[in-house]
Amino acid sequence: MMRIQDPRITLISLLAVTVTAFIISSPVQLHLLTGLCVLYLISLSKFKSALRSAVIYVCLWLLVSILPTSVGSVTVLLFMYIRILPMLAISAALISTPPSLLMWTGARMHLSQRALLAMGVLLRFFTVIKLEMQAIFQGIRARGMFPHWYSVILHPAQSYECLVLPLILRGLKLSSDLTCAAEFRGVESRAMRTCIYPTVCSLKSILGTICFIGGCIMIYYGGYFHG
Amino acid sequence: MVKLEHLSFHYEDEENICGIHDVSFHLPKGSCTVLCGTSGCGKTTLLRLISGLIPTFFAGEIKGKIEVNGKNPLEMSSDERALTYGMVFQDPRSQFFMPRVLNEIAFSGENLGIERMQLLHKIEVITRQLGLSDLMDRDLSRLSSGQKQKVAIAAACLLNPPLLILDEPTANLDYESTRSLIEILTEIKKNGTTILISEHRLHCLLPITDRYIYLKQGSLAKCWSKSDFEKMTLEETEKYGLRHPDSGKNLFIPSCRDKGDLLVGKAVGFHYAHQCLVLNKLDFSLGKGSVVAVVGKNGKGKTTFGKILCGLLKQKSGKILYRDKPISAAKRCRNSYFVMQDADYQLYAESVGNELVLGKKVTEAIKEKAYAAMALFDLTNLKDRHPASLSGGEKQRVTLAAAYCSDAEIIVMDEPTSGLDAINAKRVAKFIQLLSNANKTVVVITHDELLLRAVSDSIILINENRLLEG
Repeated sequence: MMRIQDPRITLISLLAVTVTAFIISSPVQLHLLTGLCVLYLISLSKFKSALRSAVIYVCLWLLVSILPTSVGSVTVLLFMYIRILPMLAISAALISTPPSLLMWTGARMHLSQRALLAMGVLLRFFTVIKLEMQAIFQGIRARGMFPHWYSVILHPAQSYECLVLPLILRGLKLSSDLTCAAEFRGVESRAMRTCIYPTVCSLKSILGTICFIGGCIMIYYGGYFHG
Repeated sequence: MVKLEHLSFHYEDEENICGIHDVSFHLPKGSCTVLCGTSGCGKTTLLRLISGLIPTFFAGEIKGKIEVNGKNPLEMSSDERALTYGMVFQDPRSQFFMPRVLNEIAFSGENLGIERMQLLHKIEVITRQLGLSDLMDRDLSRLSSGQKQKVAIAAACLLNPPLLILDEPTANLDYESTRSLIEILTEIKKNGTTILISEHRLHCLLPITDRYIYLKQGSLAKCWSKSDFEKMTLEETEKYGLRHPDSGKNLFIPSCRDKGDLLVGKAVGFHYAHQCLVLNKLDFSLGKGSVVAVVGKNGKGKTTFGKILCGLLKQKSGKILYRDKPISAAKRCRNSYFVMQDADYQLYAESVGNELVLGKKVTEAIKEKAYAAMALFDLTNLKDRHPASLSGGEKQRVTLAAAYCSDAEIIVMDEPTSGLDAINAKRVAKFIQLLSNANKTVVVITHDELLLRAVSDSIILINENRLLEG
């Protein structure tokens, strides 16, 4: 079986970018941090994720610069999203990691059983939420409601109700079924978890992470001296 | 293997759900037993008691004694429980923790800390036995119902549990997948595993079953050996509200189909992006007021076909004509109604009454139609209830009544009798006839022979892409 990069390496990078994103203040620092994240993704051969992050970041900045001041709350929401974008970019590197490997990593980092179970259920939700949303949208259309693409915009309150209620019901059902199923899958076992994937911690990835952390520190102090 | 002595239970907060009253039986090691009875007779409650989910997840008062493998399920540790039980729920989708087949099968072993090489060996053995070796890297969401069922069984049997419990395992399976399931269970039984199944489709399980236990209102009312059950006539099984291979034969009333075709498909084809062909040059015709059944193997595109009819998907090739004129997907969508298998996706209002008029301008005529629909579909007493508080069968009736109230000419129903006993399946057949009598064209996607016999004027066989007149 193919060796997979130890997720702890990426988690360290995620921690570094999270801290940096919250302590930097100038837009230039944010540009540099996003650029660093894009380079990090390229170094991991995640070219699609790197391109997607870069394009979204540029588009959001353009949108913020052209929006009129009268839509202040929208601008605030966009700024918040721009601020967390570097973290989302690094998280994208974790998406392809098998959930069982992430749970194993969590166990190695001495996370509690409850936290591991919550992580397992959360990862499960991530994979099905898109499918559930698609099914709900089809259910709405199948009942002859919102026949046109613009119908959702014409009736925002009703569309919110039609989407949210079934999503909550499905979410509750799925979580209760999963909790019952967990009883028979040894999720609460006291034994130390194992994982079918062998992990590797290559010199290249260690050096890449050290450079990434160094880059974050430079961006922070660069802005500090600049300011 | 399993011993129940004078077991009684009633739910703490839910008086509507049937409990268990003074049930005693024992399941010998290596045997296969089927629990049967009408919906709500206590089968699920009994499975929950044996598996220990009661009272951990469902509070209530237990009297009597339960022993599984010599131990009370409540006293078992998490490890003991995982090593004793293999559990397969009715909808395997909701018991999967991982997105891929390999990870899902390995999950229990990883949790119990089984050494990597030993775990890989166990996975190899079970996947070879169940014929899953080619699916290991596949995404679970892209598998057919039969394949998902196999993965759920593989995951449950990885650690060779002495007791395997299956809740309605054939509910969503076609004939071939059911036969394959029986072969797999035969192999598992040969290894000495005790099997307990709760099921409505009973006769297909004859090859592996040693005993049928019949529950009525929470009590053990009857127990048949395999040979006694096999000998039962249609009349006898109907007396107990159970299904029989001939059920539905006496229900068929030809629909009041008028002259001419409403919807005609010519060489209709469809495929999803990055996937192989789903439908290939399918010809079909749907008469106004007729009832057409769509049958075929799991994963062959029956639901996709239903969505194309309703305009939820657009065909990639071929033509669809409405009264001899081409019709777009958007227009089909406005003129049809798709009743999904899971009613939770389609209920949005705060009461049953409002659900029936949702999205419409409420006029006196609409109100009258909604009241008539509630009377026809036995919903009048529930008109002020929140749809989310209803049982599965009641929710399904609400979606059918909403279809009745709609202006849609074509109504497509996806597996409407999945998981229903004979009595309730016949009720659905009656409701389909009501829709047909209201001059609506009904397309029923189903594996259920009872429903096929009871309502279908013609059958579209998707595997071979052809129309069979009934």
